[in-house]
Amino acid sequence: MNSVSSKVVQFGLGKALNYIEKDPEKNLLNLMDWVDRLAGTQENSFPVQRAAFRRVINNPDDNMYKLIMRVLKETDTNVMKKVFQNFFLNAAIVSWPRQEELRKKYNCNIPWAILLDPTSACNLHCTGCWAAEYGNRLNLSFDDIDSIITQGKELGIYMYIYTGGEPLVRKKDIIALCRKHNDCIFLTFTNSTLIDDEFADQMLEVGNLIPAISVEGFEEATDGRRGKGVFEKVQKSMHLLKERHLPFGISCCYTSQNLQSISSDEYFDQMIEWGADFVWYFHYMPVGNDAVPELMPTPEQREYMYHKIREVRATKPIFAMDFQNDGEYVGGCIAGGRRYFHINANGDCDPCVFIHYSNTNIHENTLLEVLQSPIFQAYHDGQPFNDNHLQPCPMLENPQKLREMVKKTGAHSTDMQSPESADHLCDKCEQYAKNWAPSAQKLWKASK
Amino acid sequence: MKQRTKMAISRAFVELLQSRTIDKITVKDIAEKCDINRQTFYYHFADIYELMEWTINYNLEKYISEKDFNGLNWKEELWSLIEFLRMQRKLLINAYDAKNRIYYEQFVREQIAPIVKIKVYDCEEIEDVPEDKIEFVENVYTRVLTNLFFDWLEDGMPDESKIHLEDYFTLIEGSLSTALQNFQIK
Repeated sequence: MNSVSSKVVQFGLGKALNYIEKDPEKNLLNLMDWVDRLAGTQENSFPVQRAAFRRVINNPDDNMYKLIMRVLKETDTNVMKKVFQNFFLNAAIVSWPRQEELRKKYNCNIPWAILLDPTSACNLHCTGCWAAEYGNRLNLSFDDIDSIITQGKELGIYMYIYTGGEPLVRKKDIIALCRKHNDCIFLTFTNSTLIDDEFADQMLEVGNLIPAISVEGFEEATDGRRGKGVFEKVQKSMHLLKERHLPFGISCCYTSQNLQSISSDEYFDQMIEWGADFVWYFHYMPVGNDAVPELMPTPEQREYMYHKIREVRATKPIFAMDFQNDGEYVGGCIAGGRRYFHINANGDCDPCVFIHYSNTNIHENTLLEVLQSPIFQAYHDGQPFNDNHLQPCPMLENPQKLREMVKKTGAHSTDMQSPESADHLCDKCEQYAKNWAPSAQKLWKASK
Repeated sequence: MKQRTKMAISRAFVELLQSRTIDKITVKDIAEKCDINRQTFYYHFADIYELMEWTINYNLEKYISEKDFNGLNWKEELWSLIEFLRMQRKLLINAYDAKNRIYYEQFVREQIAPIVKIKVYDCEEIEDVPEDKIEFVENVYTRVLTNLFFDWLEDGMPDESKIHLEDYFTLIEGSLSTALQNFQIK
């Protein structure tokens, strides 16, 4: 892209963004014209997605239209501009061609986002959570993370997601990194209990940090598992965010036990009332030697989730996603660097936040070496692992694939607490995979 | 507490600027000079340019709060502004490069514009002049002095007489009323 004309277009975009706050209904279309101009006409400029977006903003009756308007009206203008610039432009439209170029050049995956654990420590001690059991606290230093992001931007990666441990144990460094890399967008999974007035003010100031708060249900369920008073603290944090018009989302792990309650209409309405803009659902994964396979949802439960999320997206002003059931929109498995990968607090580079097998460590390898390492290359060559995108995962629905990949690549377990063999892990998924297959095929056929 | 760290960082930066230009200064240099970590620097500032903007603004605020501006006329106010800029001479010259020319321009204009506005609104001829034309006149006089400032800066900010401020006053006194008159709706 010609850099001068792209500067001109960026300037135009800035102007269009200024109008958004005055009259979003009218000026959103105007803004979209500028986005189209910036994106150009090449095939790798998301023409299909942009066209779909345009259809939505031309149709005030569409539920997505209502959601977009809600977000525009409720979000602080400066944060909105920052998120739009860093998330939609830098992380998607502008960097996609760069990523595509590098994918061809190196014949490996180049991700859109990197997940990383700033720390393995957590301030809560929840039943069943591995973070609670860590005696030795591991951390990625400011300089480690700074180096990951600096290398990442060279590869066209502008989206960074913190997991953990509780990332906000390191909130000072997180703010420092938001400021230093103010062209990137940061998202943090968090239990939110460390969000106070000072931190919320800083979030407002930097504008490029979005929390995804873990809440799984109402007061009784939350306090029972996480400790008394935690639910109230979480609600208070959300209030601090809402007060400042800061965007945030919620993340939930669904299990055979809690699925009914956290997918109820009552719960969706509660999340909307809290002010959440999005909710991400994660299927329970039987990872680790202490995992409880009985917590995996039954095929009937997963099928219910499949329909429920689609219903919510069509009717409620909150953006709901279910990573295990939404593979159709992203071409199946996105791990192994295809769209993302994970770096733990020890620096080990895992293909996925749930798959802890690796050949590389960020203290010894560059990002590019990680992406070209054996297990990442095996993901690259094997994806998609199934033509049915309702069976995307090489572990959960296709356990034989992960067994093979780990064996072939000699990747080692990066679980610091209790290393688990790939066979042990995959054994737990065999029965699940068999049970789910017929439902997956039925749903897949019906969706075609 | 936060403000104190910011000030310490800013002082270290100004000291470094006495002997070298901004492109030769790294965050590491500044951090070492005031004995903090690199991450502490980034906790307060996104980069050296943001630090420079903060420093100039901070110094201006300090200057204004220490100096009594009451009862100054528009000429004296402009003289004070030039005096302040000249006091920051080393900083302004060493921190000046293509990257932050826009910031300098914005900063200087923001200081000059309100003073010019007062002068313009003091003219009787302003009656019957449409608002957009008044704005245009203000804009032109502000830009003239802004550009004189850049000429002066690029000459190394020699003594105050070289910015031609008195000539600028003569120009305004001699042309402002006529200009406004010509814009009046007859």
